Amino acid sequence: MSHMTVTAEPAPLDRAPGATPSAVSATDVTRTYGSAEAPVDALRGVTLDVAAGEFTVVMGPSGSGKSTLMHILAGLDRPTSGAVSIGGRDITSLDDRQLTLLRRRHIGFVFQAFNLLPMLTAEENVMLRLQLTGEAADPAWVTELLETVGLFERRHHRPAQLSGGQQQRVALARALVTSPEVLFADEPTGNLDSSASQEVLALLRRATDLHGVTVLLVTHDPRAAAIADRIIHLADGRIVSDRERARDATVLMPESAVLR
Amino acid sequence: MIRLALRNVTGRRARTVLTALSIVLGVAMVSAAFTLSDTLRHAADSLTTASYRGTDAVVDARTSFHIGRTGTASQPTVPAALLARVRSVGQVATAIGDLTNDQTRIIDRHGNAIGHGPYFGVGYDAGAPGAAKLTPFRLRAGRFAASDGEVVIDAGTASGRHLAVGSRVQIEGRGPVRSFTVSGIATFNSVDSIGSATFAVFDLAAAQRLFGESGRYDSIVVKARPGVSPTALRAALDAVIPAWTQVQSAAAQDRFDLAGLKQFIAIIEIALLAFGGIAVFVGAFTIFNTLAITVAQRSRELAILRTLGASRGQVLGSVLVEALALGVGASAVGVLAGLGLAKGLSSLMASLGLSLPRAGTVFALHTAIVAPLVGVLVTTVSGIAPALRATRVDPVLALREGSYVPAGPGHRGRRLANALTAVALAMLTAGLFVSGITIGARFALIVPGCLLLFVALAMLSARVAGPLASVLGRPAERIGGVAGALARRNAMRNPSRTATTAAALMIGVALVVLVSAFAAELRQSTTGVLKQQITAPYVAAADDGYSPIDPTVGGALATASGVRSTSTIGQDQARAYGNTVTVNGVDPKTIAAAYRYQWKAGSLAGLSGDGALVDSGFASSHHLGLGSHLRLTLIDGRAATLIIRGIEVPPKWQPLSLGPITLATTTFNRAFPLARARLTFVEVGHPGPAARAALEARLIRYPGVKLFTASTFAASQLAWVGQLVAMVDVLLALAVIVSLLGIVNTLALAVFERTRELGMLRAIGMTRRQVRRMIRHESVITALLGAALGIAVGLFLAGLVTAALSGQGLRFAVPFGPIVVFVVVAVIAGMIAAIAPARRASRLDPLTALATSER
Repeated sequence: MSHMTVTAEPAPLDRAPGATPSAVSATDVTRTYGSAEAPVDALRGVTLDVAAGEFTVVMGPSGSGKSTLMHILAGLDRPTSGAVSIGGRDITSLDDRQLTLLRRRHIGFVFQAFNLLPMLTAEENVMLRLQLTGEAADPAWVTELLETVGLFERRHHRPAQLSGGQQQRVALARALVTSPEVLFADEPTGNLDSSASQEVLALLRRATDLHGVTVLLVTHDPRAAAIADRIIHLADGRIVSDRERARDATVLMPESAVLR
Repeated sequence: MIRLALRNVTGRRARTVLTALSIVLGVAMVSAAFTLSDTLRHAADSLTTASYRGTDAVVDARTSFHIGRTGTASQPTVPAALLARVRSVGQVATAIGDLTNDQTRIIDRHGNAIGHGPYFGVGYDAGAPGAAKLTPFRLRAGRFAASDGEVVIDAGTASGRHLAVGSRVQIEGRGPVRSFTVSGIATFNSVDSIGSATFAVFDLAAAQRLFGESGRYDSIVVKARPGVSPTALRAALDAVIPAWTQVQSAAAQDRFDLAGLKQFIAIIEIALLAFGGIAVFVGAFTIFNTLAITVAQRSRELAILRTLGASRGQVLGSVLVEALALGVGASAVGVLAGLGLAKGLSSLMASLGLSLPRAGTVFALHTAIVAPLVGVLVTTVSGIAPALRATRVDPVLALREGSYVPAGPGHRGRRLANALTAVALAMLTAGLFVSGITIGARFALIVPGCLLLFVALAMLSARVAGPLASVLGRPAERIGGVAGALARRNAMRNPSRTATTAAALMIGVALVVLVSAFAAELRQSTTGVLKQQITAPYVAAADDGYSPIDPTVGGALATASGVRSTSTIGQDQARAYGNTVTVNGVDPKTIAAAYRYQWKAGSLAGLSGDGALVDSGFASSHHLGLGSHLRLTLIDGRAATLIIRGIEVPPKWQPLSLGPITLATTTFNRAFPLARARLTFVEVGHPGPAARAALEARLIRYPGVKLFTASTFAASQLAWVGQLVAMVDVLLALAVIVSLLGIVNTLALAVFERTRELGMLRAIGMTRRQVRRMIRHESVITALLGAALGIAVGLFLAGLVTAALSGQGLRFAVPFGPIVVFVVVAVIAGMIAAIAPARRASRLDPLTALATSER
């Protein structure tokens, strides 16, 4: 099922084409950092197509370029060459403002360091994104989200009063509140213990299953592989393996306390 | 450790520059104050030397008390015959008669007096052989006046008003204005003019007629024969002149009042030093806050140092060395910047009508020592608290995840703040209310009390900053949407930091509010009292409201159509009970209709001949009652014994500053031959434009005299208040700028500290504009906090001072207009302070921000 993609040629991916529209795609993306004299090639030509509603896990050793890839796919960084599109729209030509608006409406983020605003409560942190767009928050939706992540009772707590796992769940609710098409998660379990990691991963999976959110998860965490639809391995700035995984949700969705 | 501390100073250049700038400005102001006043004093000294050098002796009438040449007392004159007597002395080479007064206004095309006084009018005997050595006037063009219709004017006036030899010019001296032809343009020694003074130099005989001093001189100026020392000359003259005259050196006699100029320079020096001190003090807050924040941000680094074996002492030392290095660098720059600032201030004062003699810049030793010492000391002292806090960083911190901010002032800090507040209030109260202490002692209590109060309030305000920022942030939330809401929460999240930042602004605002409140009180009281006292519809007085006017003004106005009566108040000075007192002359028949007296005893009825009125304060302090005798000594030594016929109760606040003694006009004019008038009240049948026009037509011949109503007269009396407030505001602007630097610094450090947070906000969809708006609103909220605290403290201080001065009749007034202005200025200032930090925050690459999350 798996095979190596020779990235120099824009070869068709070994998945059934046209089954679902592509949510995120990269074509021959390279990214070079540093000076002209001492260039560092973080990405050396990556071509990738993520279907809508797919849960993709990107793995690879440190320095493999996986974070760079995610940043570029999410419009946080620009490729040195190559094209990136989200929802069929080319984003490499967008200016900062257009990218910001794209991120605001269509993309959700979960970070390793949670990145909640310390002076806001859990609920306020979740609503923040809606306020950025100037939309009126639908209280029922916010409540549902907070209940989903199991923090409705703690919605008036500040981040400092929450555990790491709880903070990351707030961050997840924040990412989902605008109903994004794509959710990028950068090592979301990197700062968490194993049970908290499990909860967060389960919630991420649930986002795809219940709301059809396309998830792109960059991680070291081997447990993440178990819930993925597709696993991509990166090494030295290239995709070295790309395989789909048969879905067997029952094994992967332990009835944790989170999903009461 | 020292190297590490210095690395902190050089490593973060922008922060160091900003922090240093707040001290640079203060030190520059102190340095400028010294430089400017040294320069001015040097100029005044050399002017004095140059002006009086050729004159070895001056003979004039002996006075029974000393008055400034620019006072309202009339100087006695000497007869022309004395000149022959002086010239007959063997040691005399040259002697000429001289007339010099300070009430000779050169009038411009619009009918206003040029300059702000003194308005020197001089009679100079240019034709006498050797006269040129006895005058400071040097012709630049034309020739000295030779006839009644000619005048020489100062070069400053000539160039400012485009007057040249041959121009016609109006001059108001004694009596109505007259027209003259400019025969020459002269400088006063090397300078075009002295400050805002003007000079009109006439022919001596013409001046005698013009000033009503025919056959008399103000003084006789004398030059010794070669080989005769000035002392020997004066001794020789002393032997021959009459006992009621005296001989002095020219500098001692000082007919151009250059000593007064030097006094003025001393006042300017004190004022500038005070404002420089305030700026340094405000700068101290910025230093303190910056070091406190950087210590907090570096707590992990400090903890690592501690685990590596650095002692508490070494940590303390490293922060103090950082402060010291900052202080030394900033002070060095500040002293040099002060030289430039001195020039700027001198042109600022020139633009406010205070042009002063200029000469080469004087950079004295005390400038090079005191100014930097102040800067270094203040910076180092401000570093003590942050340094102590740095020593409390727990070494274990180095091993822990996350950041840790050492606690701000805890329980102990709060107790200290309360204690400091109590001490400060006690000092202020003692300084303001305790009677029987010297002015110096009062200042020694009030000034440190005030500074201590500001420090204590800055400490205490940490407690109210949170709630207050919450309230003041509401508008931001409404205007700025989510950016405003986040700004409000950011302002509230570290109250002690927000409070210290705002406290720097609080000081400047408190002081301007204090001054404005005081000005408002003066306005309110003056207008109230004058409206109550003056019943006449019109008052004719000098344009400045207090200079003497010509005694013939009253007569000129009396014949205007529609005038029922006029009543002139004469004013001069005499000596009573060992003090120099102001004496008024009123016409008992007409004054009652124009001016309202309040009687304690007696009335105007007895005011004639040797009758006198005194005010109740004077009566009680000298135990005078109706019928008591009062002995006055006049300036020429004559004595006058008067009988008290009335005791009046003046208002506590006396804007007219009529003195304690009032005589009938006839008696007054016998005692004071010059009959100098203060003002003339005019009663008309039908006040209105017609009456005003008729009166103003009469005043065309007296351009220095203006027609007022009671309320416009009050405004003219208060013109100086407005000027003073403007000056204080300009000087306090420096303190406000310094506090703005503090806001910039705090914001910049906050942006640095919140890099990750800002990156996250950008990543989840905050636009650059929203980021900028968020920082801007936080800045405005901080500035508003400073303004709110400042307004509260300023009003409190104003109330305290007013209570202390309640004996003077001042009543507390809130300066609403200025307060609104200060709030608007604070908002704008906050926006300006936010520009750079906001730009920096909005340019943060979301990625860089996220990368920070790895550690």
